[in-house]
This record gives sequence, structure tokens and C-alpha cells, in this order.
Amino acid sequence: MIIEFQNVIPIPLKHELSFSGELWGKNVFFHSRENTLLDAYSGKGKTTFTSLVAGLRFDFEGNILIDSKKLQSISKNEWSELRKNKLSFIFQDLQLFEKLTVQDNLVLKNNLTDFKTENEIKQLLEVFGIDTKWKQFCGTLSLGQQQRVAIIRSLLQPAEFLIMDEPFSHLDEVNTIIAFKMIQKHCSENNIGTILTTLGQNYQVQWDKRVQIA
Amino acid sequence: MGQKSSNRIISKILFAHQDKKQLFFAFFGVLIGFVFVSISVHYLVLISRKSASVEMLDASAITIQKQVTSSNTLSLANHTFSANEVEFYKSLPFLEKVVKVENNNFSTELQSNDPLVPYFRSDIFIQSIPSDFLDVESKSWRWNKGDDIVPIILPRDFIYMMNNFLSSSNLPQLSDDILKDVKFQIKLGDEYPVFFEAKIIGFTNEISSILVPESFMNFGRNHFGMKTHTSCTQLMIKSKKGKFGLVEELIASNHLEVKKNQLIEGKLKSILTIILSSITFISLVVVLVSMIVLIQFLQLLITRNAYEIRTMLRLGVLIKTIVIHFIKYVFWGFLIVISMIIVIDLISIKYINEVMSSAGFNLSETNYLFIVTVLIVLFISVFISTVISVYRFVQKEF
Repeated sequence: MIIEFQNVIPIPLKHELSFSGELWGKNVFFHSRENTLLDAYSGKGKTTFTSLVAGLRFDFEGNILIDSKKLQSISKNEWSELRKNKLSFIFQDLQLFEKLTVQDNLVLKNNLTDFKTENEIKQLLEVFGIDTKWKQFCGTLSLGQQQRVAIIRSLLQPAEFLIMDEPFSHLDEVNTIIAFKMIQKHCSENNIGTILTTLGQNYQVQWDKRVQIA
Repeated sequence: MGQKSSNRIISKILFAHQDKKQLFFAFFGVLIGFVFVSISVHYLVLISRKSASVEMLDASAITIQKQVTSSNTLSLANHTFSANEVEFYKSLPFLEKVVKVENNNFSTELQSNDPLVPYFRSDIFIQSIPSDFLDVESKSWRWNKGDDIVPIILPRDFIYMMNNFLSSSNLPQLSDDILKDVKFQIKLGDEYPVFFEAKIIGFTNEISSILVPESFMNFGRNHFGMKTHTSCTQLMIKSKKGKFGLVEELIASNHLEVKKNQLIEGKLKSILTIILSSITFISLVVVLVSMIVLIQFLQLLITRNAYEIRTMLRLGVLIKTIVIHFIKYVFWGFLIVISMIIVIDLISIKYINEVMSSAGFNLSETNYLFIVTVLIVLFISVFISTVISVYRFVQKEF
């Protein structure tokens, strides 16, 4: 899969951006066989990037193409299909169901494609040390625990891209490393390309591509 | 894991925290509205069918004539309708149609020509009215020059008279159906008479003469009629729906005469039609309001769960899947309500029929298929509008 940005300028940021970076107003390709780091300070459009690729917002100038198809011409059913089978996300605001248990949050996503067994999901929780939270309501978890649940949920589907918007913002260093390794393992096993937005960290990893947003 | 657990989780997300009071009131409204609509529509149809089944003449039409008094008997007053008077009646806004009832001005005889009945012969008085005043198929109420058979409608008084005659001759009386097969002949003219076979196609309580098609009347007038002008003594009028009260006033104020049973039946039908139409209208409003309440309830439910619905859509759950959950949820409510409506309808109609029957009105020909059809049509309309509304609301969250 190829995600292509052609001179894209988010309309709400039009007068705030300097366009000196490598994303907004430029032609940029993201290949699903690559791991890309999107690096920027706050307010430069990292979350906007995730929202645009997820089809949540269409307030931009220029063109965004997914496999040569313009974003606006993708039907709602096609979006559902993309989100189910090709594009996986970790949103900055986590997008969990607070009134549901950890189990229900994860099972709901997993059941869309029957990607993993219940045991495999529990093993992922165990790696993060939150396997005892299986029956606990997400709303009662700490932000760090919720972020780990959101990370695991993003791994419960087939995908060509995993797009992560500051996915470790609520994790300590140890859990960040655990999470990063878990994601790396999952993506390399399933040939999934990653796009990670960050506030300057590179997680001591060699990235295929590094895009500076400004 | 699997579809079942997904459905359970989605239902938990959408319906776990809700106030069912509004849903109850919406379904209660639908129940009341549907019950009244189906019962009132049922009786509206039954009343119109009832009169149509026994009467060939359009049920909302009556024949009027001027009251016969001593003065017009002595020719001091006119008992015919002038062209101006006909125009006046035509101009009245509550009358749908006004036509002259045409009389024969030539000699006409009716005689039996069948071994089933003893021979009899009688001078008769024939009339014709336009076919749109008759509840009869146009192809059976047709006569063209050269046709040997003339369709006729007999006054019911004529049948009573004939059955009395048969009874006094120790012969069996004839039913309507048998009578329709008895052969009669109509003789037109005296000097060079012409005979036609008469075919009875129906009976009327409302007119005392024998009715023939207009074309036959014109043929008789042209070939055997007197040259003098034929005056118009009777008019046939048809009131607009629910306006029979005004016709009654017209009859009283213009010293007109009408058959009493026509007047009573017309008045009764008019009142019943107004009452039942009003009930139908009010019930439809109730159904509409309930639908709005139901749709509002669903909209509120969707708004309350906007974040959850958006999140599900972002995870890849199809709009259709979410809509189906809402529809399944209200479907059971509808199913329970429809079952209750059918039971209430059956009990109510049985009760109303018994009350009517004890009062001397036999309205027991309940058409269950019709009631079910009305309910299905209403159910489908409400259901489709609910589905469309829910789909729109959910789609907005995409």
C-alpha cells in the first residue's frame, strides 16, 4: 500500500505553518514496507496527519491518495474495510470504550477479523503486566494502562500500515521499550509498515524514513 | 469469541444506559394510533361496501322531486324542474353531481317470457340516469342500436309485488339470483311495436321505476316518442363526502321530496363517515406523533452514544452493523405492539359488532385480511421511516 500526500495543507493550520518541513505542501510517499518517523513539535499537525489518513477529516487542500485513490472518493463502506483490514491506528486520545471492560474493548476489535485467539490476547496483556485487568472497566484504569490496552487493540487486526500518534506518551521508559518491541515484532511478522508521530524521540532505532514536520 | 459476543458487546455499548420511559410512550402511542386507525378504516370500508352490496345505485346519490301538493295537482304550481333550477343546483358547492332523471315519453310494456314464471304483462314506466351514478360494471350496462338484449335494473318493490303474485298463485317465490335468469321482454311502441329481451342486472331500493341505459331511452324517444317536450320531474344529486347535512337542509328549504330510506341512510352514512374519518385522522396524527417520539428517542440514544458509535466506526465496524442493532432493538418492540394491536382489534371489533347487532345493525362481515393489510402497510411505513432515520443519524457520526 502507498499513501501519497500531494501538496497537502490542512486548512485550519494554513496560516500557522511555515511550510519549511517535509510534509505540508510537499509531495510525500509512505510505503507499507517502510517504517517512517514523523517528527514535530506540538501543534505542527501530527494528530491532523493521523486524522487525515484515517479519513476522519477532509478539511485540507491538495490531494491525499491511498493506493492511487483520492481520499474523498473512498466510500464509507470502503473506509470501514480499510480500517478493518489495512490501516490500524493508535490514536492519541486512545479511543477506548470506558464503560466496557478491557476484554470487551479488545474482543470487539478482534472479532471483526478473528485475528487472534483469546489466549493470544491475554498473552499480550501479560507481556504488559496488565493481564489481571481483563475484567476491569477501562474507565477505571490509569492512563498508562489504558494506553497499553489501546496499543494491544491496534495489533488485533490484519494491516498494511500501523499509524501511531504519540503512542507512548503515558508510558514510562520500561513500558515504552516493551511496547515498542511488541509493535516491532508484530509488524515484522505480519509485514506491516509503520508511521509513528513523535515529539523528537527516535527510540534508538534506524528508521527507513524520517519526515520532519514544521 | 465470535459474532455473538460482538453483538453482545455492541448492544452493551448502545443500550446499556438508557431511559426506557420515552420508548414505552412511543410504542404506547403507536399501539393506540394503530388500533384506532385499523378499526375506523375497517368500519369506513365496511359501511361503503355494505350499501354497495345490496344497492346498484351509488350510495351517496339521491333522487329529488318537488313535493306533490293539492295545488300542483291542480296545476296551480309547477312540479317540474326548470333549466334555471337545474343550473342553480349544479352551482351548489356541496353537490358533486346533478343530473336530470330521464323519463320515457313512449309506450313501454314488460312481459314475462319464461316457463319459470306465469305469463304476465304490464305497462311500465322506465327511467335512465348516467352510468356513473350506478355501481355497475360499464360493460354490463351498455346498449347499442341493433342489440337484442337490454340490461335493466328493477325496483325492489317490483320484486315484492311479483313474489306476492307468485305466492298467491301457489308458486315458489323467486330469489334475486334466480330472478336475474328469468326471461322478460320489453315492448316499445303500439302501432309497430319492437320487442327486446330484458336482462336484469341488479335491483334498487331507491328508484320506483325500471332503469334502462341512456342509449336505449334515446332510441325509444327517437323512434316511438311523442313530439311534445318532456318535462323533468326528478333530479339525481350526489353530495360531496360528509356534506349530506347540507343536502338535507336544501331538501327542507326548497320543499323537495326524497325517499325516506334514502334520506335516513344518507344521513346515517354521512354522520358515520364524518365520525370515522375524524377518528382515522386523529389516529393517524397519534401514529405520526408516536413515530416522531420514537425517532427522537433513537436520535437521543445515538447522540448519547455519539463517541461510542464514532469509535466503533473508526475501528472498522460497518454503519449497517450498528443500524441493524438499533433496528433489532425496535423490531421486537414493534412485534409485541403489532401482536397486541391484532388482539385488541379482534376483541374490539367483536364487541362493536355485538353492540351494533343488538341495536339492529348487522355489521358482522369482519374482513380480517383487510385489517391485517392496513396494519402491515402502517407497520412497513413506520418501520421504513425508522430505518431511514437511524441510518442517517449513524451516518452523520462517520
